[in-house]
Amino acid sequence: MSRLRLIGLVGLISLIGLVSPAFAAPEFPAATNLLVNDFAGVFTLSQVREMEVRLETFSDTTSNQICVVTMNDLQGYEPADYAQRLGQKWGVGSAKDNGVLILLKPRTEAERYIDVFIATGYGIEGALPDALCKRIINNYMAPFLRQDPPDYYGAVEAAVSQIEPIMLGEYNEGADSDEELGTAELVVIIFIIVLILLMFGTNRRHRGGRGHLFGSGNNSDYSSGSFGGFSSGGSSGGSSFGGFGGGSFGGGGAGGRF
Amino acid sequence: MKKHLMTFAVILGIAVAFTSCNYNSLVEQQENVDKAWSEVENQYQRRSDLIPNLVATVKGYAAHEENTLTAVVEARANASSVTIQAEELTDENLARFQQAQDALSQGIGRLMAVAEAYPDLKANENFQELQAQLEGTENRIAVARRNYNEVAQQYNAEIRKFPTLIYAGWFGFNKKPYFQAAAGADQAPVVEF
Repeated sequence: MSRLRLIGLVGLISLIGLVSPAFAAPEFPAATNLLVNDFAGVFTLSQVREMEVRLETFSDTTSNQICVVTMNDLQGYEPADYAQRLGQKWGVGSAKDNGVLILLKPRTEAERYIDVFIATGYGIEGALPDALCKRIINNYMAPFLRQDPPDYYGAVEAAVSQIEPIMLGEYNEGADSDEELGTAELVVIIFIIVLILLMFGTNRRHRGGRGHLFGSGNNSDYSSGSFGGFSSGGSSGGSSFGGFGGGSFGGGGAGGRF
Repeated sequence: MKKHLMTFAVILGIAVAFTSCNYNSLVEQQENVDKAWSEVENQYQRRSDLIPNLVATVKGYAAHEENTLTAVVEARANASSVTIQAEELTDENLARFQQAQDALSQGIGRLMAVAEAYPDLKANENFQELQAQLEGTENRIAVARRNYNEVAQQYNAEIRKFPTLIYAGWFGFNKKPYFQAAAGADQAPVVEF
């Protein structure tokens, strides 16, 4: 029995050894198929989930994609440069280039300032010109970022709340450009959000129960955290998000340092 | 004798087929370079278009910074006079273009530095908008230049491959020049709050 366990352990270690090069921080991380990528770990899990659902719903119903990325280290790139390259690499937005990438570099030990950049895809530059991006940062994000400690989630949420209606006016594939349909659609969006939130709620309870069951088993070595980490990071609760659509970025947008 | 002729014809046929196939791909790649170049020019033009408004706004608050303002206006006029058609892209032409645009970049940089001394100007909404637009344009220029360099590099690599390199010159497929990173010129200005 113990020998079997040893073999299992060795197998697990070698597997991790194989996988780990993929985790060695590259300059630009590979697309995760998620719209909220909290690489810096400044949001709580429920915040990540809430924003993910919100942005996925927005993406599914309007084809507009807003992607949020937090990153502790921009590898020496200017925020504008980093955001543009990442948005381009991931292809945030559809073929209409209607993607927006909100990049946030939180205050770290090494760099005592916060960098924010809102990068706009080619197709959204008209609706969301640089000056407007800057105004969103200065008027809506700044109050949250100037707090001590900074409210990163509040800032991102404020920006998303400003950007969503603007993008909705530019591209809206979900419905006709009829005004009345716009409100109807909003109701549908809210309904879907509520539905998904409810689903998540039950999901979590399920998961909690299962974890408990595993924990009580004798094989506690194998139910260690790393696997749980994989599943929560990878699937985000079985979302319907179809991934990025190959949008391209030409360097539009604005940023700020706080 | 007849056999030799046949062999020759077959080889010629293969060569032509190979060449024409490759020729099309070269045309395509050259098209890409031209497109990337026009994007570069577009973005520089966009920056140029912002300057009259910028100068007028700064003048309203800092009229006695005449030298700086004049320098920018002159640099703009000079930069606008240097335009290159895509087929005229050579090392010398691009260097001239880049020199003129870099001079304008420096002029704008100095103007923005001067603006720092005028709190009223800095607080002016119109000026702030222009500043955001200018920064965005600098970013777009950087992206357009990088894209141009990338496609130019692909194209240059292609025309130097065998057997393309033998006939590339006959059809006018010449090497395209690259943008050189000038000290600080390709860096978008950073604004601190």
